[in-house]
Amino acid sequence: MRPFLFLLILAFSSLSFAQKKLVVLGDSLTEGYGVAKDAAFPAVLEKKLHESGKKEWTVINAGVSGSTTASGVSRMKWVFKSKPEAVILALGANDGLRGLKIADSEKHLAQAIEYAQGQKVKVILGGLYMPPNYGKAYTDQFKKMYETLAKKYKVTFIPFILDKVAGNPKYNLADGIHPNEEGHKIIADNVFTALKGVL
Amino acid sequence: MLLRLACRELLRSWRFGLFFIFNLSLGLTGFVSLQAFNEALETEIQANSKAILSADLAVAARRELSEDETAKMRQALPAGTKEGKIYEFFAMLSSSKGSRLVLVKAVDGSYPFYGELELESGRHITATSDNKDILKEQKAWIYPELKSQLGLDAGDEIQLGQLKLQISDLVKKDATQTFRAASLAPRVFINRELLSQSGLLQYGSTFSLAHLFLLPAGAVESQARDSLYNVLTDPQINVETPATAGEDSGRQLGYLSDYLGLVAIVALFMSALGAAYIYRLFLSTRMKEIAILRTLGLQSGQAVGVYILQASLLGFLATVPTMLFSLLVLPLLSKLLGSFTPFDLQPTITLEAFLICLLMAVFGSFVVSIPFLTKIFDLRAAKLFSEEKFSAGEGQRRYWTFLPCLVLFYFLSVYQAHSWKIGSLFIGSMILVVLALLVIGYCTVKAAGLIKGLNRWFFKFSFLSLSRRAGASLAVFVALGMGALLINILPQLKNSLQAEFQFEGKSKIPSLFMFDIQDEQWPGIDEVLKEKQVTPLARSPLVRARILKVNGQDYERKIESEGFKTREEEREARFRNRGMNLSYRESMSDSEIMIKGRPFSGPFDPDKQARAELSVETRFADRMGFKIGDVLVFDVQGVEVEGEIINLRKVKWTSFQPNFFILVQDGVLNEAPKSWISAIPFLPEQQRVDLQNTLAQKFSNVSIIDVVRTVDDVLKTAEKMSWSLELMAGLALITGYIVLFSIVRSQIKLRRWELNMLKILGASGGEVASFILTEFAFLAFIASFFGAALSVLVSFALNTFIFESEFRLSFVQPLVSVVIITGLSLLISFLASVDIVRESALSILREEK
Repeated sequence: MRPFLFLLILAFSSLSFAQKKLVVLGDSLTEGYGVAKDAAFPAVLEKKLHESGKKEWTVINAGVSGSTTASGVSRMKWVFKSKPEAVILALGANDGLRGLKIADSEKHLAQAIEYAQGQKVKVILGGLYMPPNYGKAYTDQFKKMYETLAKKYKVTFIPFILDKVAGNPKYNLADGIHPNEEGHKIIADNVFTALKGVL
Repeated sequence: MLLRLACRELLRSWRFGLFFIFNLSLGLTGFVSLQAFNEALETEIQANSKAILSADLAVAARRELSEDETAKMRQALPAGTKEGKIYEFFAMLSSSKGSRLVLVKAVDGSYPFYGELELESGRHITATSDNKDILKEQKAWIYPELKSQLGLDAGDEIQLGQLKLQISDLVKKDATQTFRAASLAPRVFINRELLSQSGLLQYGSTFSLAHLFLLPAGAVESQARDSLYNVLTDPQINVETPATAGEDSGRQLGYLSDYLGLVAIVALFMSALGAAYIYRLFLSTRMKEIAILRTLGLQSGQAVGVYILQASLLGFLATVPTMLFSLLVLPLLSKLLGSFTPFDLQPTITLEAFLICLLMAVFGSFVVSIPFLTKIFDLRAAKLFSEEKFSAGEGQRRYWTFLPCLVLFYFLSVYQAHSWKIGSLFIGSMILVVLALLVIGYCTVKAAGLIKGLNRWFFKFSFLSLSRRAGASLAVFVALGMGALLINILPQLKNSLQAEFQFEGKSKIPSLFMFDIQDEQWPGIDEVLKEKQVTPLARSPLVRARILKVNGQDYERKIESEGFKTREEEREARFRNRGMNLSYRESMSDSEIMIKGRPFSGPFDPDKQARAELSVETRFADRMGFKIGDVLVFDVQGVEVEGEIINLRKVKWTSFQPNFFILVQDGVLNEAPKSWISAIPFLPEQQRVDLQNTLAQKFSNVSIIDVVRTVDDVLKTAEKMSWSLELMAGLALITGYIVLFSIVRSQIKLRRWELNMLKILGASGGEVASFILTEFAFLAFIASFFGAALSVLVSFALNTFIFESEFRLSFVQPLVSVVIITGLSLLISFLASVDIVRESALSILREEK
């Protein structure tokens, strides 16, 4: 129990004075793989929110590289201890890249949305597309999964958070998958635009 | 005139000439053979790395190169370079038996420039083979995992995007697959020309592109790589070499390469030791003739010239039998080795080895003997009336005369080892060792003269003779001591390095890796494992984190307004910014060794501890500049955790267990969001496939990678490396003993005259033998004992500074060498005494005078 208490104190001492919290629960795209923490889109988004006058919002980066939708609920349980008002659910890229069954990914995302809604946390669903090399059938199904979930759970939906970033070498690291600093700025713009009127 | 004089004298003492040539060529044969095996091993290692890359060089990117980049790339490469191009990307394969993620490898006719693909039908696919049916028809080769997982086999139809193909064969062995590249998806080989039909590669697709190059003979890879980096400035483009491709065994290959460098220097020193000693003997036997020439009016410089010419001529002639011996020995040795090692080495005499051998024989030996040669200037005509031979201890001491020898061997050492660090370290150790041996030898020789109370005259005479001829005795002492040292260095280092290649036995080697296991999935997974009667080898939690600060300083690298200045700067920044996988465990695993600091104090206690304890992998610590006592601040998914490095640990590469750069004390991260990695021990194929399918069905997010094939390949490479160490250490031992044999033999020859005098004075055969045996037993035992003892210190230093591995001290090998060297000296002394007793005294006198 003691380690848990220690972590809990550590975890939320710096955040407890913030009035409103927005958690970004995602994978390496959220974590900011390869860029500094301040350059990852959650940090850029926070700056934009503050610049637009929403200074009461703190954005928590809960991105974990390599994570799949299966981790959604357990991570929400941990990060929701900070009592956030809203969560951007940006998971699924690794499910797709690893070719997991879309039905399973959809089930895990649905469980995560249900858990968040059960905790009275507003859900914003960040949609993703698979690269064309995965084949039309798979990429279409993948895209449709997010649309179906957004409609079913009536959540705020960002169709493609990597819009204008994916596939453009100018906005990505050498691996061609992870956004660079410029790419993260665009993602922050995409999310910021979608959040207008929501927060 | 000098040349004529030199030749005439050589012809007159042709028996000595033959003796000189024979002994010198024995040592040089050892050197040439070692060099040939060294080269053959390095070629083998390089071929292995080239097979992984399947080329000499590869230009890789995650995008198409522009026309301008392609033109610049081709211009930067030497004329005659051959080019191939491959694409790799993930795609969903569909078939009537199901669909699955695969890694498509789209190749062209040149693939693979090096190495081969072995197919289940028995076909071997190489660069020049004409059996690549995937290039002629709508066909594909698939990895066998697709057979076990989807039931696909030769003859079945598959679809990749819009492209329909028929499976023509299954891949049995793929040299390009490394352990780390054992990916999530089995490979499918297709024709690059058919890619457009698939429709899979278009804007937004993620793929790897590699232009593969086969350089013309004589082209240097590193130069070509540098030229390419000069013209391809985009950091997104990588130029890969075989050295970067062999990632799994890179460190071990580096160790082996450094070890082979040391072998080359040791071989060089051994041959130089033999050559110098025999050359010294040659000069000492000629001192009387030099004195005669001096009295007849020859200048000292001219006298030196005559003997330099003579020795160089003899040295040159010695290279002929050296080459003949080597040509005879090498095929026999490689055939013998092939019968009990995993090698099919083809050692050949390289031009480089021949030139160094020639340099050593013609030039090197007299450079080593300059201190002795300059004594000609001190030679007086009175020497003619002396019965004693000229001793090295006589005349003025000129310390500068050692300088040319030092300089020559320093540069040769660096050249042989291909490393300034190893060459400098080795030369430094050798200087210290020679000084130590000189001091020990001097004390020993002087102490020998003080030994009293011996009841037999020949014992007394032996020890007195050692002390009286201190200079000559010291030279033998140092030579034998150095020989013992050189013989022992490689086997000592081998013992320590082999630990790097050993693995814990098949029961501890994983066959499957599972990752992305969630906390709540463990009960279900445990149930499946219990049902299948499988106990996992390891289960390690994985917690993602970022390092924010080290000792209060920012750790992450932020991009400046003008971007990163160099490719290296950007790489370093990306490496630092990509986050870390942390883990925790109660104690270190079998595959980890703490090399500095203290172990974890137990579970974290927030009442007593302000910070968590951290254990860092030593090479990672080196790269990042971390040391014990450093305070790191992590961001664990929004939570800041502070820790202090309390130890550095080394991870054993051949364990194949999940390992981490940073371990955090138990009790700190246990509640943090995490996933798990687990390893399953070796299972028979059917059982493995069955378990994989069951787990994949029940826990779709859990990725399972079959590593049997790649682990097997890596272990085979490790076994080869281990054998390489064994082989070279063994060859060095044999070479060393041959050199010592020739040294002792030469030294005994120098004593023939003295032994003969004893015989003339009435000593019996037994007394003559006892006299020389006592002297050599004493000298050889003490010299080899101290040489062997010093070898432990030198090996320890080399191991610490070059290999950084755990030093394994073995007393057996040094002690055995002391016994062998002493025994060898006794045997040669005994044979020489028998020879002298048998021969007529007059003939020996004639021969010696």
